[in-house]
Amino acid sequence: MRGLAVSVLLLAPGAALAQTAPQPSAQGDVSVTIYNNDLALIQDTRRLTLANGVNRQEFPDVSDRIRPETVRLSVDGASIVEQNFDYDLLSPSALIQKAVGQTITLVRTNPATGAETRERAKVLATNGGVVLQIGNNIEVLRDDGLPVRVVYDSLPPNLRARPTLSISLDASGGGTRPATLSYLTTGLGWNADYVALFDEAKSTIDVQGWVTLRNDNNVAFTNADTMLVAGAPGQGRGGNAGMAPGTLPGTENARRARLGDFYLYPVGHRITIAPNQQKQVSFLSVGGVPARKLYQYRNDWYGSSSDPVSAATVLSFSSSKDGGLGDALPAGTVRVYIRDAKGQPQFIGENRIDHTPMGSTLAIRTGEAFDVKIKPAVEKREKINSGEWERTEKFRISIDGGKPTTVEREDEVTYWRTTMSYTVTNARPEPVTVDLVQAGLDRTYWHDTRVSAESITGEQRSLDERLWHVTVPANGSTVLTVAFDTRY
Amino acid sequence: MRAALLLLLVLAGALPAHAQTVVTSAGPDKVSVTLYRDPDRGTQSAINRTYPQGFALITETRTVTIPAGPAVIRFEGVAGNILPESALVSGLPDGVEEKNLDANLLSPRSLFDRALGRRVLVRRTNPATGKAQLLQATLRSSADGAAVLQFGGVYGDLRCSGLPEAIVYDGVPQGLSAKPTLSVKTTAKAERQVTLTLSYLSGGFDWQADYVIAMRKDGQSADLFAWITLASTDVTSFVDADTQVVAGKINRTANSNYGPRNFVSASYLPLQCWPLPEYDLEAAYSADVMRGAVPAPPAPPPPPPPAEPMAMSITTISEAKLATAEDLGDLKLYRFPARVTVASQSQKQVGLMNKPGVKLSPVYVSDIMRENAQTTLLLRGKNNAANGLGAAMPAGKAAVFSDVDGQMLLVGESAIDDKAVDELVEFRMGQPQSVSARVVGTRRRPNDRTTGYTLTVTNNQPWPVTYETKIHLYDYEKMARSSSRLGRKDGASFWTTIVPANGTATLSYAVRDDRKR
Repeated sequence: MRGLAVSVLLLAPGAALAQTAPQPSAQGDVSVTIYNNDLALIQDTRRLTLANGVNRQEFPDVSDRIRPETVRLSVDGASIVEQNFDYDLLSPSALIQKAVGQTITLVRTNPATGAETRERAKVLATNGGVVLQIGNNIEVLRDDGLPVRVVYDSLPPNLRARPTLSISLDASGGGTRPATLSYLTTGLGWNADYVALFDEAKSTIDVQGWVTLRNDNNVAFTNADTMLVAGAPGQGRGGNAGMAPGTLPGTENARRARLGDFYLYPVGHRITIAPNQQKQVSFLSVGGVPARKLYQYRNDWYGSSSDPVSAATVLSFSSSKDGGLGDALPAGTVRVYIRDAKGQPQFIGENRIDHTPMGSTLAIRTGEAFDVKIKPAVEKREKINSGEWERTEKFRISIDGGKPTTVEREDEVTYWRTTMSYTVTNARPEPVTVDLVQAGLDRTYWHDTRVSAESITGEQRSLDERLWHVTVPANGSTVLTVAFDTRY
Repeated sequence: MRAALLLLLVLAGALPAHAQTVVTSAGPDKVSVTLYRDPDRGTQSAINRTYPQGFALITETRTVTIPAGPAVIRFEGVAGNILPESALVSGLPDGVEEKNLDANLLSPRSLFDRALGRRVLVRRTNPATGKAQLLQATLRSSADGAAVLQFGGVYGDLRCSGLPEAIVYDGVPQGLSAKPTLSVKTTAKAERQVTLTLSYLSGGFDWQADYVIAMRKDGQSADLFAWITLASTDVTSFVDADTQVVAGKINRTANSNYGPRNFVSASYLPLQCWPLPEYDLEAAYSADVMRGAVPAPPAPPPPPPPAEPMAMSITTISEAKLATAEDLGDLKLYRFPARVTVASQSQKQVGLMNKPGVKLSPVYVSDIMRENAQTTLLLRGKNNAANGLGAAMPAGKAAVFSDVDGQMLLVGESAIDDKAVDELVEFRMGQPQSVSARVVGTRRRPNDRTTGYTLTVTNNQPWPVTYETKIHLYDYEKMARSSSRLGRKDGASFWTTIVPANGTATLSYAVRDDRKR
């Protein structure tokens, strides 16, 4: 008999199986605008059916990381009385807390026979244990560890399954009307991912740009009009990562919509952002863009190295309309590939770029060159007399109230001459040029470093940095020597 | 019959209701794995076999029949530590509309959460009789407040009673998958079979070169053999893979986060109950132990006896198949001679280079600063063809063996960084015992500006050795005189000599302090 009951019960949910498809979302026409700093603006136009007077409307299926203080509802012919965000969640412990002073049913199961007995109990307190009054006795729930089930007659009204947004509206007339709910939420973010395939022989790159957006919410945004904002409101644009040293950010205007200072990247078509999903949509694909490989080395201070140091391999290209990628580039990671001898693309390194205006020159450091190395050495440190004099002291002396005379003291300026040598070696079968930078020139108290001799003419890139283009023959080496005169 | 029906219904429930067709590619036809060394691991440190910090580029060829119209192609059998944003799919005739990594995983939590407000079955087993009872219930709380259920007109919880209870769901909710799954969306004009190339980066791999150096009897040359040692901890094995390793240092960005993010915590379903009375039973137990009522745990077993010192011997690698080298931009790529299986949780070795008769001479070098002399033994050779080398040498460890009475014994371990052709390769063998350098300084008067130093190098071996030293001075110091002519190296005064067998070599020099007194 019981077996039959079980099978009936088993069949009953079979009928319910068709419902395993997701419940229809309460969201209406959704548009999602995602910023770079884990922030998104959701605009959700739903149809509300309101009665004349004060209505209480619940808004299910909002993002679970909603910032409730940013909620705004715009609806015609109704004014907002109050807005509530209730997050007192329904749970067994919340249930028993709300049952204090009320009567519940206890079902005791005899562990030996399995027989059930029922009794009514009044909940007195729930502090570190549930204190019950059963008849005239006071006891603690499950103090003996034996099975006791608690059965409630009803659920308290203010406990909810999920945090719920509810808004009370004063409608000036009954009927159905559209209402736009907008709010900010976290848990949605995006960045760009670029794939650059470098053809060294042709000195070109093929670049694909992908928008990568992430939804860490448990809520889907179905068929959403999605807009991506290249920027972080309140945080500014960020640094200049990826920009070639010595170049200015580009000044060209990309053919994209702007939001204030930021560029907008519309996804193009409506997309469904599933819960816990990372989604990529293409936004850029250009081929045959001129690109060149550079070798860079920077010595931060006048120091020696006992082992040679590899030069950095840098890929340089432009985001300009002419001879470049022709777009403003949102911040992200550039991954660089190169084809191996069998023609298969292989990864050779990656780097980050910041939001880059169109017309900029980029320099992406992908890694270190195996075959191009630099060995810096301090060859000499010597004190030199410059033949220059500087006034170091000045006195006004008056003897017995007489006319004051001025006495000055001058010292000869002493300089230290640091002779550096940079041995650049190249084990590649073709000549290379290394952009060698010595930094730290303006990092002294006196700010008057001079370069008194150099074996290759350099260019002063800034007060602190001097750059030499060192050409090294195939399977050969070049030594650059430079003398710096400083005041310490 | 009923089981079959149920299965059918479950399958029907698992199918999406959208118009797009889902095509599943179960695994690759051909796979190529390129391993990259952890860029932040020093040459001295070993591969972390539990959590290798290097990575790999996996390139897979897959054959898929795509239908006409909108379709989703799901890729199964990809590496577990995939970096999804690096995934590239090529070969789709009509391009990729979007790429997705769905991480809504089938878990206790997601099952519970998706069943909110729905009818489920609660199976309650009578502990006395063992009989199970199935009850219809409706879930009323979300996973954050689990679990409150409605049984008919009354409300209760799950398992707070102490009775065995379980929720039985009627199917798998749509969109939940067993593993994070990569998929692409495409819209083809006509049905056709296509060969796709899927490539992506994945963490959980590492490799290094391992050099085995067998010194010859002359003490000036060696037979050098190198292995490529690679390790994988990925859950997926790559069977019959074209395997490559890339040598050189690659730039990685800090935000390269591999694999699933917080999926475990997102899968955990905590069941809550009302507060149970708690008594400090632990204290009562300890009191019992103190009284001797509870037996103390048994003494730990004695430690194993120390291992016998191993007589290391090296297998002579004759005619080993070696990886072939090629340039990859500014990096070096080594292609394995045959397809191998990069197995899950394994380490594998393949020959990298075999260079018999390499000129590798021992040199004792010191760095001297005032009266301190640090002496190291180096095995030095120039990486060129004349010396028997002349190939790029990737970073790795080196084990040096020496022939002692016909037995190859380990004499030292070392490591080198990436070494290009024509570069000086130096294996640092540590502080020697047979050669030492002492520096003694003297001043005629305590406030003398000039200090005299005597460097004495002793050699207690029955053969002469090459000795080099770099004497480092402060900016305000000058080398005033020396008993032998000194050169310059790396910005320091440099002296080299031959220390005779069982003999000494000396250098005296004087340093002047140019500071004004």
